[in-house]
Amino acid sequence: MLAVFVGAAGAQGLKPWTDGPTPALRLQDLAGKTHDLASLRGKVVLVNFWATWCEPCREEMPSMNRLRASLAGRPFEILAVNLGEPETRIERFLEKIPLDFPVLLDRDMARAKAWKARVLPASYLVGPDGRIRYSHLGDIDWSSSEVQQLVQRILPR
Amino acid sequence: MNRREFLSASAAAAAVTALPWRDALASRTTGEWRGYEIVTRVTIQKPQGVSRAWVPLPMTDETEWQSALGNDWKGNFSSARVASDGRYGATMLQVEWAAAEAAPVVEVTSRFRTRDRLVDPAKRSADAERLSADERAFYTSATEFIPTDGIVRDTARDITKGKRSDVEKAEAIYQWIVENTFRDPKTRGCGWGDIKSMLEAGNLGGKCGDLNAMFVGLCRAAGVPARDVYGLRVAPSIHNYRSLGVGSPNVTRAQHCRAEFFAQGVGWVPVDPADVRKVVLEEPPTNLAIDHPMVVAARKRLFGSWEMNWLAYNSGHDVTLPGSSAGTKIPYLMYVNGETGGKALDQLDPDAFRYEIRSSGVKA
Repeated sequence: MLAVFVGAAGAQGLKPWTDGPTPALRLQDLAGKTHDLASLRGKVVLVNFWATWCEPCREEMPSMNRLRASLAGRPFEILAVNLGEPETRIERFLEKIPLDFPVLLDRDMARAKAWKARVLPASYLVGPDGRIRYSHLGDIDWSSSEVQQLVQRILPR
Repeated sequence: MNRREFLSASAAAAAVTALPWRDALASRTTGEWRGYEIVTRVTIQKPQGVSRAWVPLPMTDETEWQSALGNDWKGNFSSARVASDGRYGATMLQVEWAAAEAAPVVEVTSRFRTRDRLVDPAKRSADAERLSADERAFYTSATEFIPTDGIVRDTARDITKGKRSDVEKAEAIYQWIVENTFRDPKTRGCGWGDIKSMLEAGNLGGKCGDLNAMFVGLCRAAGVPARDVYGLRVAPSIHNYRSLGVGSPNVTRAQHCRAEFFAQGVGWVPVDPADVRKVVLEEPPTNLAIDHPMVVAARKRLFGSWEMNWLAYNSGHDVTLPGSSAGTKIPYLMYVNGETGGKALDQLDPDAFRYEIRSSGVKA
């Protein structure tokens, strides 16, 4: 009956995207700086929707730090979009699990709806041309060799 | 004390006398009216400009199981008024403090009486409450956070296959919730925002706001009128369920919501599948088996009855907080909400926004 099972996965969990154009993503981070996905053309961007109360989100975040570190110096960015939580709560979370990438604030959760991120965590790998290439619902080991190889393949030459 | 510092909403409130907490609550018996008083004290710790708070108030409908006796409030606010969401009649005290107020505070006292509620869903009566066609449509419609299409409709259809009456359908949904809403350790995603996302995530874990919303949504999708009722536990359980009552007069974190469905010839029927799961999870020694006698008894009792050691606030969905500059819209009004400088305050952050709710018994 409840057929949807979101399993922990390696790169095989990343699904090629066939669901249309990339929705806009322009949000402020915790410091008030605006980030616009459109201005990151030429880079691969991992867009990750998350919340502090979501256990699988918390579990996968350290592996996102590792993925970013492994691609240091390459045109690769991560944007972690928080779903409607107060800033003080996010800041407390970051004291425990520091992230090496910006946390954007989707205060009214309109972006999560536009991206159809109905399940958390929801992740989207956006290619250098701005098109979503892969998506994944549920947590994943972003530092696995399969994921790293897949990201390497879509990085601009 | 001047008018700004103290406003009284009800003369009836003065007619009750406070009793020691344990004395007032320990002797409660089924069927007897008991009086309660709750005091909610809200402080904004670090005001940044104009501050506002919204404090839920007891349901004003007179029922056979709850009766409001009145509200008082005092504090250093610039304005305070009883407001309503306008659609469901969810009442709240809307409080505003001037930007110059360095230590905003409000203390709201609400008095009410309750008695246990028991409805036999199998017993039909010619005198039973009826719903108009409009009311039936209202209580079977989708809300923003309780959609009734897609996977919700499909799941409801599967659960109620072969069931004919409203009671049969609602009971099938109740049993399904009890049997299926646990956290599956293999599930790796979290639903958010609405019951459709919970079903899509395959993660049916959650608290009352999630589980009873699932009951209401599945009932509505099956054509059975249903609604959530949001409230607060105010006293210990007399049925020896430690998990279904409060253990001290401090009830700050005792918010709890329940559900009702409407059966033709019977009326509104109280249920609480989320509390069956709470017994499974929390009743000592904890993590009880589904066939444990305490779970079996709770499962039977919570289809058709509510122990009224609990205060009903309202049945509002998709509530827009009146006067909110942040335009805050919330799925339901069960907690104290606040904002300062146009930003919503974190109910869970004691450094920014502190509130305490204390309960005591009074002579009804």
